[in-house]
Amino acid sequence: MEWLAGIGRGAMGAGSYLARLGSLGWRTAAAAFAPTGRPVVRRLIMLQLVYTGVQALLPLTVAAIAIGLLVFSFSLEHLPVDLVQSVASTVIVLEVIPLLLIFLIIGRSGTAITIDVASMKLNDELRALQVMGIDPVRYVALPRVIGVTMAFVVLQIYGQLAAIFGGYWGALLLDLELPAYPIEDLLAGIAYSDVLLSTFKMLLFGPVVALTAILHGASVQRSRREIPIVTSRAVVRSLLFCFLLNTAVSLMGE
Amino acid sequence: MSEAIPLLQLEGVTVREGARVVLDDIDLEVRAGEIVGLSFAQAHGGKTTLLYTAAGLREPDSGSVRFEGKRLERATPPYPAIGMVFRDDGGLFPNMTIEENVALPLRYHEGDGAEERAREMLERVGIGGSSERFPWELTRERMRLAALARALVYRPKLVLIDDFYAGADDRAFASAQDAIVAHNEEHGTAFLIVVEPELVWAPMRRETVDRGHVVGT
Repeated sequence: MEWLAGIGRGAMGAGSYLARLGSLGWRTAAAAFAPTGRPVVRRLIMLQLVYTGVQALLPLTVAAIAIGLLVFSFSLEHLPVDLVQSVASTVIVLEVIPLLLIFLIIGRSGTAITIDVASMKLNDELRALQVMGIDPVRYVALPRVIGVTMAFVVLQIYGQLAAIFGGYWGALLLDLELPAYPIEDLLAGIAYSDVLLSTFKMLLFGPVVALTAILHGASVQRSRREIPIVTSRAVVRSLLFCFLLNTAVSLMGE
Repeated sequence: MSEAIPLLQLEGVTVREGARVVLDDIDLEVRAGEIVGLSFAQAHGGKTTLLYTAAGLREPDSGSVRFEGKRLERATPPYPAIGMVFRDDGGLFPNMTIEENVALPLRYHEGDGAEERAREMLERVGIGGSSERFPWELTRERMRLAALARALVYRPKLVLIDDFYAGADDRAFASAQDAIVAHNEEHGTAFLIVVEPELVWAPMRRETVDRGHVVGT
């Protein structure tokens, strides 16, 4: 019976964790409507957008072009040329770039947010906000959730274009016999529904990555030695949630 | 507010950390305009826990905390009731300049004129020349003066100060003392300050906490 009790404890633990994540999400959404401190919160959103979005452009460009080139070279080698359009649309737009962004944003911003929030808690900064009448959810969580979500959406479009154009021109440079296939046809082959579905994924990934990072960062109690532990937990949980959501949304869109 | 109602009132406050009783049945009052110095007979005697509890940052296991007669229920009183100088580096934000730190509560709640008032307050605590620097560029004493400026700048009714004297040099101590007395006289702000037992300071009413109990002056 011990194994059954173990399963029960695990289920209760998972339920409690998801309830805390949901509660933080709900409080963050509610904090968006508070009347105070709007200019301060707007500035923090812009800063988060810069950290998560602008500073990720270079690594995203390199990775997207490399992956685009890989997808084109394999699809041109193994598929009839008229299928390359749908490969570009489905694989690059709907699957590869969202997955690439999951790794990139969790690796850069998710970890940074967890470490930042944990340091703020240990350094009494979160308590200082409370004493000054500033809701930490509105000041800390809201800008990060909105900034990361906006960055996901913007980087998604940028990454898809970088993968398609970069992959195509890279294939041309490497002489992979694309000339019969103008890039306009590739772009025309991208299904509108795939772009919408991909954007929907980004709107889910953003809050999930930011809220998971914040929840784990705020879970530190006493020591800086806890920070690497909560950070690695946040990364694993964020990856897990995003992969599950990615699969669920892709299957829903079938 | 009636004069009969204390600004801050702790009644029978007990706080435990696991099996250890940190604060045991504490009764303490701070009246409007009063400066209260709180000494602890033992190191790790619960000074930070007591200030967190008084500010509504931590709920007691039993007893009550009232601010202006209203019981705090897992919440700090509404802005601008309380200012607080936290231990160590005062709870300053390391990614903001000193001026941005001090201006933050004003910018968030009031908007215009925040930077000017922040600079004035930094001058008053004697670190006007450090306004463009970051907290980590300053000495511990100057960081705590900046934290004091942030706690005073929005003119709260009560300011809580953790470990006021710990490690401070004479000049920093005198600056902080002058700013506290001036603020107390001009705005009627009350202070609850954790101080070292040997500190002598005339305008201060003294209380001592020994093994979790308030044992009087």
